[in-house]
Amino acid sequence: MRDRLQRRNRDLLRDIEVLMRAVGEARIPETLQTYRARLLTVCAKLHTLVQQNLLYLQIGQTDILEDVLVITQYSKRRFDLLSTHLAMPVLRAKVDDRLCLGIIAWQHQAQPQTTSFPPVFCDGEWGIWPFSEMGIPLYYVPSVHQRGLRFLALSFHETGHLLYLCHKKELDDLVAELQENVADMLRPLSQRNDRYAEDQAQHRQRIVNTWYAWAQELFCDAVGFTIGGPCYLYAFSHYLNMLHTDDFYQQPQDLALSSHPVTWLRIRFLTERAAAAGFTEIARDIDREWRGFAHMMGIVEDYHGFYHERLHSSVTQTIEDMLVETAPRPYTPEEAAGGGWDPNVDSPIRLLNWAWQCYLADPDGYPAWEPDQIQEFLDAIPVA
Amino acid sequence: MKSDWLTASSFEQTQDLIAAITTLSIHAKLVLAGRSDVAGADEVQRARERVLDFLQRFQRVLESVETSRDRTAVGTDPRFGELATRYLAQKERRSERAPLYTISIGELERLVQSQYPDDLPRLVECLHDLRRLVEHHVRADVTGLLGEG
Repeated sequence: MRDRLQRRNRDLLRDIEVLMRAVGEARIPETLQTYRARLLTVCAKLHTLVQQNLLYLQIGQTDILEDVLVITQYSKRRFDLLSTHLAMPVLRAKVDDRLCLGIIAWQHQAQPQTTSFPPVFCDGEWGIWPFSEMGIPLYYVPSVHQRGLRFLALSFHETGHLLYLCHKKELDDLVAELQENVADMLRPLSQRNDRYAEDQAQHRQRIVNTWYAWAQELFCDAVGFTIGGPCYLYAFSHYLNMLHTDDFYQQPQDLALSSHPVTWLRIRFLTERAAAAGFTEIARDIDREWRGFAHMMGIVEDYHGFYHERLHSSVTQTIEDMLVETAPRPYTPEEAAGGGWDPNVDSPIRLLNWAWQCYLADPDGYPAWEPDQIQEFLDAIPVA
Repeated sequence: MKSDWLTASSFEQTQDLIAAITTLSIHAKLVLAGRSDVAGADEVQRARERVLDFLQRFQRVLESVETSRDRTAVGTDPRFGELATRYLAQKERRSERAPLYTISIGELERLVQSQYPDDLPRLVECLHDLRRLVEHHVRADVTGLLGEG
């Protein structure tokens, strides 16, 4: 057992060294330098841990072998995470990455809580692995969206998950209150003491549990709109409106396992927020479009008890409180108005709003308009 | 949109917790054997703080489950709530003899901080049980992020 553990740890040590060399030698854009340095620090700590394992194995104390095995397993998992995911943005870095890195870098700098996190992303469906303790939250961005302006506002939603972790205790308390309200709404006035009551209680528990993730998703949608304004609303609606039935309606068993509320419900909360912020026309258009598709598909709004209108004010108030607690940097009226962009004066938010205005005004002419604007944005950030 | 942010966050926290529990376990065994630890005092202290932080959060979730009408944990990742439910079920099972389930979380906190050598054998046993409880819980996270492997 001891010999095998020694072999495993020696192999792991060499693998970490190979990975560190590859990461250190990779040619990367300037914007990724901080991430690379952070990644190498994580690798170096792992290297030290594995060396420590080998020292423990030399001591010759039998009762710690099980513990050394556990640390070896931990080290292997950490290495797999580094080599198969976290190193990818460095090892596969491209010049094209600068646009997306620039937007993530700008928003991390715009929120005081996230300034220490270096910008980084991988190819994939929109998402984030918010490894806040390692200090390297990894965004996932579809490859086509990395190269254009229109959908980059969706990264603001992902930053919402990071903000949640930065204020986890306070936000968990707010979500707990909301979950209590959900439970109260679902609890019958009088309770029976039989099998039926037990099933009902289990169903109620599933719904209450589901709201832990749903509340965070609705909060992240609100963060996205707060930072980006209309560009976030357009990006969200266009990206998520795949015209799948699932976007409008889901079976109870699917709702119980879901981490996101039904997209139509998210659109409802988001368009209400946009309307309240003064974007009534945009909100009405998007709402009408979604209702039109639902009507065409013969779908009637039904959330099988996972959402009810009686929860509306409670959900809205919780999201408001979460926004107050986290204070994401809000768009300014000038940024929301778009209509132009000066890299020396304006933030990227104005550019992203302008991009949607240009696209909506002339979708066919948009591909010719976009490259010059991207170049202007890139000219304003450090070169590789 | 990807939905594994919760899995990723849980993976990071629980993996680090397992490492911290193990660091404390090795340290206690080496002290009992009269040997010096390869890990420095700072590292052991960080591991101690990590485990204590977890125990305090765990205690809050246990209280939430025990006081709720439906025995449901709110304001926490439902999987963390399940961990609490599993712990309570083990504790209530009279046949369960594992030391972790015979003491309170408060007593475990005291053992983790104790400077008395007499407390170390009990601490080692409880850390072993705690690690098993958490490891069982993290399997889904590991598979979710790194695959079946």
